[in-house]
Amino acid sequence: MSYLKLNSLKKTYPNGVTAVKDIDLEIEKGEFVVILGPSGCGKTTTLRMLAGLEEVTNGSIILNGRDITHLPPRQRDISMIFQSYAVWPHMTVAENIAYPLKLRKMDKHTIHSKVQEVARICNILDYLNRYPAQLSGGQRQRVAVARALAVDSKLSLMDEPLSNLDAKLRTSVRTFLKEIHRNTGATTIFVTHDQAEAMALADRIVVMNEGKIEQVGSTREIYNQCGSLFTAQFMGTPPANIQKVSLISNQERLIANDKNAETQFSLDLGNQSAFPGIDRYIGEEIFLAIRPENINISEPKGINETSIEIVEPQGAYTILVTKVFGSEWKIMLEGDIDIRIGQKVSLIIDPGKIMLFDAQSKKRVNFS
Amino acid sequence: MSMRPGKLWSRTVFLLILATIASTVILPILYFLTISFASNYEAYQFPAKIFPTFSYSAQLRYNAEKDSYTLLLKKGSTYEAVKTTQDVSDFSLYCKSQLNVLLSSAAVQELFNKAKNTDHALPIKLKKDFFRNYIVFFILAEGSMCALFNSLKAAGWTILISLILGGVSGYIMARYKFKFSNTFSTSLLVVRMFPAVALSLPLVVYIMKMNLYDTSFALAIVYAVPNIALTAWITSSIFKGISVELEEAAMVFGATRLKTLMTITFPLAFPAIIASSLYAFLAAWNDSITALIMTNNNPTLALLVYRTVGSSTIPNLPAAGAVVLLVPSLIFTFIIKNYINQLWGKVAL
Ligand SMILES: Nc1ncnc2c1ncn2[C@@H]1O[C@H](COP(=O)(O)OP(=O)(O)OP(=O)(O)O)[C@@H](O)[C@H]1O
Ligand SMILES: [Mg+2]
Repeated sequence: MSYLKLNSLKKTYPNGVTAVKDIDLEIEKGEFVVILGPSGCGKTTTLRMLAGLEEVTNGSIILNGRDITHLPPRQRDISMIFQSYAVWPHMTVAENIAYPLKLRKMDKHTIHSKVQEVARICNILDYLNRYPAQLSGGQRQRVAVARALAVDSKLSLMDEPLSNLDAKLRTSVRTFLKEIHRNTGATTIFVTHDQAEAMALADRIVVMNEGKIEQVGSTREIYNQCGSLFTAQFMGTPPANIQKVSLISNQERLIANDKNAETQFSLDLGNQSAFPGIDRYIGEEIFLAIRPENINISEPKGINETSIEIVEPQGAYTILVTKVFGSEWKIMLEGDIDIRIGQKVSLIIDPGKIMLFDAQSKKRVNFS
Repeated sequence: MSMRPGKLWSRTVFLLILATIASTVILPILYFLTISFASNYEAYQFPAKIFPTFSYSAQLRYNAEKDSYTLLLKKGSTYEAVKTTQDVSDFSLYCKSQLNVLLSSAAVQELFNKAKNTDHALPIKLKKDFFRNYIVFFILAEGSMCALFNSLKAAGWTILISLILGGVSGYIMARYKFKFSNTFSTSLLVVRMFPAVALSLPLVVYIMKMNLYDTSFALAIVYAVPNIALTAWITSSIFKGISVELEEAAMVFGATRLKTLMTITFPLAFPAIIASSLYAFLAAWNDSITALIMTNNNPTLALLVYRTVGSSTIPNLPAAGAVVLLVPSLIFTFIIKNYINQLWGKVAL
């Protein structure tokens, strides 16, 4: 039995918006799980249901073997870091950290040493007597972390805790959060719409879209074996190149043709034997997705020929933009590539890195 | 939030602010103060002086043919004759009542003798009794200490009633959405449209039946009625300004709803609520119409000022009364301002 279990969790707001539809999720003790999804997909709603701040419309939440679905927030033994930090402005840093401990009826001495301990970890010892108004955003954020850390809760929730920090601070606090998790092993659910953040932090990523879970998996799985078209579109900067094509077989080679034959472009995907079981999709429409870094280029060889339209050098890598099937595809190459605009090239694609998605269900088509 | 406007722009803004402060605060107050220290004679002068004076430059002339003395006061570059008399006590009375100058008979006699012995007009300096108007005011306004106490009591009750009832409505308006919440908040405003007299006249009957007539508490009820609405609107925006997340954080970390209200919401709203109590204070403090209807033997200070000097044709005594009325509200305002300024690491609210 897993540590935290969400059973077909559903939330419909009074105004009729169903923000979360049937979520099933199991989380092990000590895991760092990141819920990732675009804005408005129901991440915050899910988290708020876990915290008890939003009533559950349907389904149940089991934490450590106890059904907490309808318990008030204070009885759930959960800590939370809010997007706005929610440190109380009328209390000093020390009082902020001590407040939850006082509510837990700890004695003065224990509270004092606990405050000192977490303040040291979060590096805010010098600010204990200051009010939040006298702190910078990053320091306030650490106060919020310290406050959550001080209560040894069963579950730690974080709703985009880094989104109010500037880019540089964000990466350093990210490292700091990961370090804390490594030391405490607290079961954590972290919500974000930033995939870089998700990939850097997560033991497991839960990709959400429109109130539903699209895919659950490790960073590697989510990135390389997208379970659905949405994940392929959502993950990666730049995201995967995607085109709706119809497949044909030509002399043992798998060819993707433009769905609306205007451009007359056809892409050779390689030996059909690399796609076992593809037979039933021959002649059918299908979504084709290839990540920019999985495309290479070579001298024009009369196959998959196209011309380079834009070159964006990024220092460590170069992004090329070319027209494939009439739409812009991005190619990501390591290093600083010397290439000019208008140059003709052939695209080289590793068949193993091609992702195909069913045109109807938009789920991954697996070959194995 | 900070932007760097151009120098010219910031100078213009600064001047505009200065002009606003000058025209709305400094000039009226200065005028009030000066008038309140002016003697009857000065109060009739035109144009009025900007700053109060402490003495008169004058001359005393002896008219041999009539055996009388003429007092001349400096006006611009010339001297204007203001009083001609033969009588010592007449002269002394004039100085006291019209010029706020206190001269004993002996002193007047001495001046007369000197003037008689000089050929020209005798130049003299007449020192004003600076606080004369205030002394007169307090002599006229019998029981002003009692009235001050009544005013404070009425203001206190008004603040208490409107903060408690208005605060609760404000919290409800801010935090709960129910079917008629908009109707509710608008209807609160309607109460404010009643003129105070329209409220107090019918209320007097009930107040009398309840044996509350002529008490500060009864006054406070009338003051509070329109103020509850105002307070509700002000506090609701205060409560709206307190992020719900702050309350939710408390609940997640183990507080009950009540505990959250008492330890988070209320302390956070408190300074702003105290500041909003200024409205209630001023409403109670400045009223004289309602007090005229609702009290008899226990007038408030505003009513007392009105009764004492309301029919005066010279502005200096009423001005003194107004300043007497103004001082406590200024003190109240400054206390509140100081209290708020030193809260929570000097956060500007
Ligand atoms: N109190 C509410 N009443 C009605 N609808 C709501 C409420 N809160 C959220 N919603 C709706 O529910 C959906 C999900 O909202 P939610 O806040 O969970 O999104 P999110 O994934 O956290 O987005 P973001 O990344 O922008 O924070 C949205 O369509 C939103 O408009
Ligand atoms: Mg959100």
